[in-house]
Amino acid sequence: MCHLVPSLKDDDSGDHDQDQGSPKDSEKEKNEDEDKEQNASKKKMVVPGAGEHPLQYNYTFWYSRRTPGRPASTQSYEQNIKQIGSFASVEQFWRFYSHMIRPGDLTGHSDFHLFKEGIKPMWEDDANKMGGKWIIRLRKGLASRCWENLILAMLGEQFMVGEEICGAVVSVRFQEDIISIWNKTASDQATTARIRDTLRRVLNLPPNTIMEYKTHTDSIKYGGYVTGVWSIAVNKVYLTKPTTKPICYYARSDFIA
Amino acid sequence: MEVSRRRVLQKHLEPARPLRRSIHIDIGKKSTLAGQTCRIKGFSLLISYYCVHFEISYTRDFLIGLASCPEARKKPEFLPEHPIVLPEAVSWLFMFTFNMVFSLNRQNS
Repeated sequence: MCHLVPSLKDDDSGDHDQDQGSPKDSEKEKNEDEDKEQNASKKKMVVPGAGEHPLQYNYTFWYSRRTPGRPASTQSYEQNIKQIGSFASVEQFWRFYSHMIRPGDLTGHSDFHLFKEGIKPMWEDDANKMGGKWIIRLRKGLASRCWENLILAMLGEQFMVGEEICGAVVSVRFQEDIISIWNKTASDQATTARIRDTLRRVLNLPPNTIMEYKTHTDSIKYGGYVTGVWSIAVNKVYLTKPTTKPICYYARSDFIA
Repeated sequence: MEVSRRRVLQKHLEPARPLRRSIHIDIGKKSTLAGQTCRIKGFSLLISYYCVHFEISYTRDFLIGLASCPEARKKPEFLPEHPIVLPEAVSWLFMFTFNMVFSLNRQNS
C-alpha cells in the first residue's frame, strides 16, 4: 500500500528528516533486517482483546531520532524511524503509552509518531501524499500534556472528520517543541477547518494562538531548503520558502500551563 | 427591513459542526462492531447521523478513566528494547496527579 521513496528533506515542523543520498551497504543490510522485523510484526494484525474497548482504527507508535550534529542529507529518514508497536483497543493503547517515556523527557532531536496502522509517517505514503498538517509550536514544558490530549482526541474520534485523520507527531527540538496532526486531503477546507477548531478545543488553546497549516506537497518541494534555514528562522522570527511569501511563522503558543 | 436583517444574521449563526446525538448503549451487552464481537461496558457511543459508517468515539475523561485498569498496566508482549521503553509502567499516581492538575487549570481558565 505504501511506497517509500528514499528522499529528501526536513522542514523540522513536526515530522521527518529524509535523505537525498543512498545509505552504505552495511547500513542497507541493517535496514533490510529491520524492515523484515517490522513487516513481520505488521503482518500480525492486532485485534481488541476480549472485554476490551475497541478503537475505530488500529494505530501504530513510531519513534525517530536524528543524531545531533550530523547533516540531514547523510541520513535516511527510514533508517531512523522505529516501529514501537500497534494496538486496537483503549487498554492496548495504555499498555504502550504507560511503558514509554513522555515527550517532555526526550532529549535531542526526537519525534514520537502515532499513525493509523498501515500509514507510514512519511509525506510520500499514499494516504499522506495529497494531505497536509496543522502545526502548533509549543514552548518547552508543554509537550507531554499537549501530546497526550492530542492523541486522546484522535483515538477517541473527537475530530469528527470521518477517515481524514492520518496521524499525529510530537517533535522535541532544542528551543521549542512542535505537535502536528496530519490529514489526507489538504484541499478540503471544511475538514481542515474542523480539525483546527477541534485542536483549539482539545488543547485548550487561547484564541490568539497562531496555527499553521502546511501541505505535504510544500514540505516535499521546499523541505530541503527549509532545513538549511531553520536555525536562522528560530532566531529571526519567520522563515520563507524561495518566494516572496512567508510560509511559516515562528510563533509560540504562549498559553499558561 | 429589520426582520430581513435578522434573518441574515441568523444564517451566520449555524453550528460549526454537525449535530450529534449521544446514545447510551446498554451496559454489558454484547455488540458487533466492524465485524468483531466485543463487549462494551458503561460508555456512551456517539453516533453521528452525518457519517456513513458506525463510529466509535470516546471522551478524554473516559479514556483517562481506563488508564488505571489492570489490563492497561500490563507490559505489551512485543515491546522492543529501546531507551524510550520503560521497564515498568508509569506510576498511576503520577498520571492521576498530572490529569487532575490539568483539569483544575482548565476549570480555572
